[in-house]
Amino acid sequence: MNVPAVSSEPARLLRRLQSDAGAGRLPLALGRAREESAAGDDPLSAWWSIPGAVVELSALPGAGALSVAFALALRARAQAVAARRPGWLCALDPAGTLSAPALLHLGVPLDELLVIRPPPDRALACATRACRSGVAAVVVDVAAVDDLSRWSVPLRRLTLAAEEQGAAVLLVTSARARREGPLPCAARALVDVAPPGAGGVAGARPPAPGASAALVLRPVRHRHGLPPRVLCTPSSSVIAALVAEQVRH
Amino acid sequence: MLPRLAATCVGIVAIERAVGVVAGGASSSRPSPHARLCDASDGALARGVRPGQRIVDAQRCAPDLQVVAVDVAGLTQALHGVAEQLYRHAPACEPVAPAERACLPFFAVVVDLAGLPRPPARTLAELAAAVAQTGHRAVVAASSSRALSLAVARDMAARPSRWGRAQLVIDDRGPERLAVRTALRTRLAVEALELDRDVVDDLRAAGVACAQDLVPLLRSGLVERLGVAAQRVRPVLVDAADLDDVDDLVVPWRPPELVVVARELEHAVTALEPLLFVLRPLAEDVLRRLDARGARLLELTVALRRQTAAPTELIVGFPAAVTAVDVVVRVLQARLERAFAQQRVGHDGVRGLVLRASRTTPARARQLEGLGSPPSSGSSSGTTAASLAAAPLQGAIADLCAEFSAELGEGRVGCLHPTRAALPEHMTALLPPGVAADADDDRVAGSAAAPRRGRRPVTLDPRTAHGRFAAGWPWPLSMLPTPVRLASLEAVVDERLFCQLDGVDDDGPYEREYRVVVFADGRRALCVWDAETSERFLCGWFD
Repeated sequence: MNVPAVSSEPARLLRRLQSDAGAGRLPLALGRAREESAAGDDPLSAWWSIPGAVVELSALPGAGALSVAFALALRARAQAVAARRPGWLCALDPAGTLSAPALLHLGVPLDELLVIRPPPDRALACATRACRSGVAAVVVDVAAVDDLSRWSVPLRRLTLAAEEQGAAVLLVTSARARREGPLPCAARALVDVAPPGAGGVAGARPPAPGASAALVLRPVRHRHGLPPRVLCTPSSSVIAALVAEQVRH
Repeated sequence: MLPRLAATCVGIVAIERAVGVVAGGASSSRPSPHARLCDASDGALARGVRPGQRIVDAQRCAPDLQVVAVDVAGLTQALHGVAEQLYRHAPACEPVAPAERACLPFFAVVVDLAGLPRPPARTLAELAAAVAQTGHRAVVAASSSRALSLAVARDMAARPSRWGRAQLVIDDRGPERLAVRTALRTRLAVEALELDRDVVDDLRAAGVACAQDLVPLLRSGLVERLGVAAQRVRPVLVDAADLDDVDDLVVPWRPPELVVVARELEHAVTALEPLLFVLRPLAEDVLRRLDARGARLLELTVALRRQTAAPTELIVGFPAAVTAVDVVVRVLQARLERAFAQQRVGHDGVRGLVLRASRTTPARARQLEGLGSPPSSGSSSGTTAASLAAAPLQGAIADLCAEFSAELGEGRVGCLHPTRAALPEHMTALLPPGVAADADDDRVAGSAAAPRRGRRPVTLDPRTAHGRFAAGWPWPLSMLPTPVRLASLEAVVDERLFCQLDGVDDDGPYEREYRVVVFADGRRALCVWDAETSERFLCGWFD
């Protein structure tokens, strides 16, 4: 299996991936999203794991946004640990739906994941306080909130706290939630189940029970320019393979 | 190589040298006999009195010793005046007041010599002359390190006969750096390092006389003993020739964690009842913070800031570790009644409160409680060992847990724990951080939502292990709190058996059949099949 060389620079990595894809050496880094895989060794983390910023992942329930968020949080944790900073993770789970075995299967160290279950309207305030406590990454799952029209101000506070502490904040929202405008995040992507055969990726088979379906991150906004679309091939909730595609907009 | 920093140790206390000995750190006119001397007159020095001594010890050498307490505020003001004078000779001057409990509480001015055209020795002479013009005595030392310059200047001021000069330039940046620094450490008394007096007493008792004697102690827990003060020692000990990793030994010190809660009152409280009313939430806060750190309270120090009189400090010790706030408040009430009667606290009025957990113990018993029933013999022993091995939480995270527990309520903050054979709805239960769950237990260990109550173990389908379906499916990442009737959602395009569970619940025996369903847009969910109504209920999303 050909695995692309590690690169932390997105454009360079993208060129490498494109040349690999063109040469028929499709990079499929199969395996769990391991903790020790430092950020920057795949297109997902190169573009979407941004320490000190808020990244919004919008999806419908079951589309895999939460898995992607935790995969990105693990990469931010690996970065923090490499920098000899505390590697605590924090999950804001207002709905109380996070399940232990699936997180464990995803590679999340449960004894270093602090789960907080505030009321939905206080999730961002609690995330801000968690950021100020020095956690490496915060996953805010507000997919059950259907009205985000007044979330700009608390989100700006959260952004300031994340910038101050260098924490990566992953905001999981519902694609159907009501908004007055775009939320003030550094980047936003829509996460969806990839259509059958998307990108010609081996992992993107038609979704059937027992087979791995592919997820696709469709970038909507990014502070470093619009990144390529990223296909993730999860084994159910586990991010297992990562492939970059050229943007098709 | 030119030294960059000069510490001018200003002998402001020389104003009173004609009087005798000056006691440092005391603000009242009658210093405590255990207060330390910060300077002595020439006559007192000749009779054996040394700066840094306690007054009682100095009086053994000179029984007729006159002691004068310095006016700290006045000296600080005079120090700023001296610093203003030194600005003529160097662009950056910083007045440095002594630490409150320092052994040699000399006032000093740190001067940056970087970029000055004249040789350092000449600059130092000019600095000393400038200080002398203000009417104070000064010794000046220059080196590449601020802490080293200050320490040398302090030692030169305290023991002038040993150094024999009032100005010293230390060239400790050249090839002979190690030898120069080692020689300096050998001459430098441990009192000059600005450590607390108690620490210096301990070090003296351990045979430490000079800074060089600290080097072998680095591997014997010196940093842990010094705590925050290790930062002050590090610049002096760095480059120790016989210890290559001295930097690694000193840098990763962990400050001692203190739980301190304070409250200022808008109006002076003169009665005991309202004071207890204020004390109770503070005591609760202390206990909660200790609980989050995995500790229990053994001794509590309460400082009452009074309206006019000096603060009253009560030290309340408990024979065993306490967790109940009622116990703490009852004991405090008894002590406060005495304080109100004897020290007339109520007459003066209390304007502020500070509670400090001065002694704690690891919360082993609390961790056992977190596992539900007391541990019995057999399988629970492993759990106990695992719990006791749990590392204490980091301070900031512990504070965060304590705050959110108080604000959101129990069960809303914590860590998830893996369960091998539990019902899916139990997989979202939280445990307090630091409490280990038993992986072999048949329930969500320690969860208040899943008490034991004689339940029969739940049996998973043999195709599943560790919460993971044999075909590669884990349990869903997102489990709904209550199942939703699937008929209200989009059309299902595919379905496959996930696992079967049977067991006994509070409502009696049950048998469940879980299926994975795939919707038209590719999303997947876990459903439970109700055999009676032939309906599917959505349990969770493979999100």
